[in-house]
Amino acid sequence: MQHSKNSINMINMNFQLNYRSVRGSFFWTFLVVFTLGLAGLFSHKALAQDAAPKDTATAAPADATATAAPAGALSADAAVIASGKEVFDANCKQCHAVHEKVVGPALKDVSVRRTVPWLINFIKYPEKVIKSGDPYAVALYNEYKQIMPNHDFLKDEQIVAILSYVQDETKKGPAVAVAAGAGAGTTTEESGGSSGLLVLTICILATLLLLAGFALAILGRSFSLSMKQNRNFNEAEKEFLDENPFEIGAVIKSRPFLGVCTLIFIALIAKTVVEGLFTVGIQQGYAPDQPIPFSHKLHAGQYKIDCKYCHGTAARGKSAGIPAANLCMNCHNKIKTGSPEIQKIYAAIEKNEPIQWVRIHNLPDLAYFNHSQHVTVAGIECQRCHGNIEEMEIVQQSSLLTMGWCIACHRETEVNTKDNPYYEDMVKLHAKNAKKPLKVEDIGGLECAKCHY
Amino acid sequence: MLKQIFIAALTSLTLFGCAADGNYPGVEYAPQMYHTVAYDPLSQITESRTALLGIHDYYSNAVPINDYGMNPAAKVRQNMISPVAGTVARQYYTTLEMKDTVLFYDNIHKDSIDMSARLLKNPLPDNEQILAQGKTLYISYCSPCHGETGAGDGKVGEVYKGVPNYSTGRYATLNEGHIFHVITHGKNTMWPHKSLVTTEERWKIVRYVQKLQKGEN
Repeated sequence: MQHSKNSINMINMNFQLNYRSVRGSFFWTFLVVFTLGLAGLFSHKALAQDAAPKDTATAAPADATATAAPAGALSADAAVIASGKEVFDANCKQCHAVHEKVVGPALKDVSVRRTVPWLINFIKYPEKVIKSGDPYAVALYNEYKQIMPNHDFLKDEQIVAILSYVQDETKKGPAVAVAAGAGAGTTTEESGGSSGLLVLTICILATLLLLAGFALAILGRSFSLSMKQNRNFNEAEKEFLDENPFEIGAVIKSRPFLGVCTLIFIALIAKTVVEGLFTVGIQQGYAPDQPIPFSHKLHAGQYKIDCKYCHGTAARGKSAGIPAANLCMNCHNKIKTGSPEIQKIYAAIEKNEPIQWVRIHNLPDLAYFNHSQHVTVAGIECQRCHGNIEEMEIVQQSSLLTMGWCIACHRETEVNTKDNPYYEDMVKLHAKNAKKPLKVEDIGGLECAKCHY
Repeated sequence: MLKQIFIAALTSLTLFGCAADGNYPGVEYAPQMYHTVAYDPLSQITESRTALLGIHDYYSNAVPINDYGMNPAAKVRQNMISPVAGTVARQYYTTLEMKDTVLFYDNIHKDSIDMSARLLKNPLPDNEQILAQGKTLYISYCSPCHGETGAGDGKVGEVYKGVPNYSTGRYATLNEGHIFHVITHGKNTMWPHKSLVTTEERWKIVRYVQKLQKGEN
């Protein structure tokens, strides 16, 4: 009876639980549907809000331009501003910016300084306006000493759109420059951390091993003591037990221990000697300080300036060349002119003395290497030999530059014969006799006299 | 036995200093065989007698002890010196069409942009190969500012300011002579690129820029 009652109770509880969970699930489903629905409703509302101005936007431009052009009022409408930006980028951007002087004046608040009809007239026929003696235009000419070309191909409403765009940009304020090279130096710290972790792990492991050794020694000692107390042994057995195999002095003096230690020591010395000898004559990792701390990470990495812009001779001649100071000036006549490092370029030009960059890759004179053959003919990326230059703050020699390193590449690299009539017959001849693709070694890439003469 | 091991350990320790690192170029096996005796244009190495055992030489701007392979006429420790005043460069070209024209194109005065636009015609043949070469050169020398499609949206251009879009407005109508002159002598914010790209290369770039003017890329 009791049993059945219990079971009924159980069933009851089960039911209650089930009921609860069912009710719970209903509750949760409801909640989810409700929130989803709400979200949907809101997003719909948001969409509607988005859509609403669009409708007016499509209607507005014709309206705005129709009324604005003659009246000289600017539009705050998104579509007009967008069309203004387009015309501005196509015709004005190369000489004007909103917040700074480029070739012509900064256009910030230009429609506040002058009236729109005056501006339309001036943009279309600047020379005429200046010659007519308009005091503002004459003052502009005296300041900038050059006349903007006629823009009579622009329609009035296009000019109004440009001015609307300029006014919009004025309101937005100058864009904040992105901090350059903010993440520099973090990678090196990380790698240092991982090696530190390795040392720590080794230390912990060694300590554990030592502790385990001690524990084993104590255990062994107590075991032999207890053996001695409980049993009767003969002399030989007693002597064996008395002998302490873990006595440190005895261990250190023992021949096998000394032998192993000497072996490890000699092996370590041999390893250092061999590794040391292999670094003789190799300058991998040489990263000298330069007279100007030029960052390849900034120039080649962030600004994506092609290697050949500065090292153009890599494509034409034997050496990759060090750019002259006048090349720096192509950008630094305007960019970061106040920096003390950039001032060094100006000083070098004024004194007519080269900037003494320190050469990093010093290939031995006994080996001939030609950049143009590898860059122009083979079409090899600079990074293949020079490493990830675009990530280097200070450039270092990343490849070995040993003969084995050259040969390894010549063995596995296929000759770039595409669109090169020089190799035409060679490719035909090679295809006749061999099934493997034409490698550099097949055209004499391993010949001594190719590089040593 | 112990003494020998000690000596071996000491020798191995001295080898730790052989590897290059930072400003130190490392130890060399045969410096006088490695370093050029002829005046190599970019050579900066001078022999050092004072350095430890004389097994490595000065690479950078140390005070020279004994110069070899260094031009004594150079003002600073660098073998390249300015040519004599009045030197005329030999013409450099790879296609026959450029023969005997290089000096003419290079000596148009920088203010004669209208004359260039009126008179200069591209001497190179109009074919796919020239266009492809022009594109490669354009990507190297122009795209940092002008952008890969000529829209003036290069990464450097964004900072430098004032880079036009080739395919719009007045810029789409500029002719080959004008483009050549601008690359050679610069215009407005752009600085001359005469020393960076040869005359022939400039005409190749002009070909590709004309394609970008049409909005093709």
